[in-house]
Amino acid sequence: MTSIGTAASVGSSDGPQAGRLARWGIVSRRVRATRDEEFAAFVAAAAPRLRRTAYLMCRDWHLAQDLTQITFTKMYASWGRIWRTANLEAYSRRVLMNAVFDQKQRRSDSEIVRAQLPESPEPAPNTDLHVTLMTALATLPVRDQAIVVLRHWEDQSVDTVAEILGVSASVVKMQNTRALSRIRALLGEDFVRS
Amino acid sequence: MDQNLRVLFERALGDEPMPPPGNLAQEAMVRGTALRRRRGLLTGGATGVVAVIATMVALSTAPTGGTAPLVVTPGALIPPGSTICAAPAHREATHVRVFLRLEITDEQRLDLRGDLQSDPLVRSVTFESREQAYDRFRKMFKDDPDLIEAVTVDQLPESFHVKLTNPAEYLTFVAKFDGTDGVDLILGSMCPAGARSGEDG
Repeated sequence: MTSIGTAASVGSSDGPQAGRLARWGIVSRRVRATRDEEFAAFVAAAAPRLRRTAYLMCRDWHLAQDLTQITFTKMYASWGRIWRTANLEAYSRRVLMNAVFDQKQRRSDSEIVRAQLPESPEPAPNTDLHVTLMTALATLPVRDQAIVVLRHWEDQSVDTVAEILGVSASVVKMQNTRALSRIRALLGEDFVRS
Repeated sequence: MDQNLRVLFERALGDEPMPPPGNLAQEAMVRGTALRRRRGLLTGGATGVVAVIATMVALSTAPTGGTAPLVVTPGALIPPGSTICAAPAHREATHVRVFLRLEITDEQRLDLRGDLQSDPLVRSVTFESREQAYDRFRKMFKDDPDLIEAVTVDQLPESFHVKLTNPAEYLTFVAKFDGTDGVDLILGSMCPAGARSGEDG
């Protein structure tokens, strides 16, 4: 909304009217400046964690950076509405996860023939366990991946995860159990030992 | 299991590179502003149209002078209402007009109305359609057929007319709703207690 500065006043009371309008413009600019400062502070605080969560979802640091950037861009576009009202932590996760889902959707649209894991169809038997975990994670439906990452990396509560993904708490619990048992099956003995 | 997973995730993040140089917040602000503009596709065009109106209004009222004050802004025409109300208000306001972007979607309009109606800062909300705005515009400028000729219904914005519960909370209201999807401009006017604002009818 750039209109404040160009607002014009005409009529009988030009002087006081124009003065009032100018003051109104100053107040409004001040509100805007505070708003932007709070946005910069939020970005500084949230970026590292958001980028790591993005990485666990896409296993690509470059893409993780892009997804983080997309998240902040979308949040700034609605910042005037959300900055004082929304739970920004949960909101940013929601925007990020939607960006991840969008990105996966676009990729699967353009690569119909490819399987889920083009880069390593057969995990090497002696790789580190965390590599196996990431590979196992990638075989899950993307929403299940999100639940596992939010619950077990970010330590978010079931209710928060439900809010972020826009599903009910019981769906989160159910899919979490399903995802964990699948990960357990894929990681096998190694996982139990660690 | 949880503990193990966390440890493994930590390890998977072990090769984290330094974030690329550049100001993440600054970039997001630039792109975010552009994104908001794109969401309001027609803003540029509409601004041009209203700039013309602004000039014409200025020309048409300058000679006659003594009429009620009128504020012309891109995308918004504030009616004179009653002369006892100070508009636009700067700190306190009893009545607020929330002008909507020309390209607002039905969903955004419904969301906004719901948000306004359920907000404790708001006493009452009424909606003014383009047609109603046009009717008022015609009445305001009935002595200026050239101006009326130049403006069509679809160039005038829709708006919500909001009465605030507490005039002192005007800026809180602006901070909350300014930048909401579909909102173009928020302008308040301060009317003395008991005075009719001209915004009611």
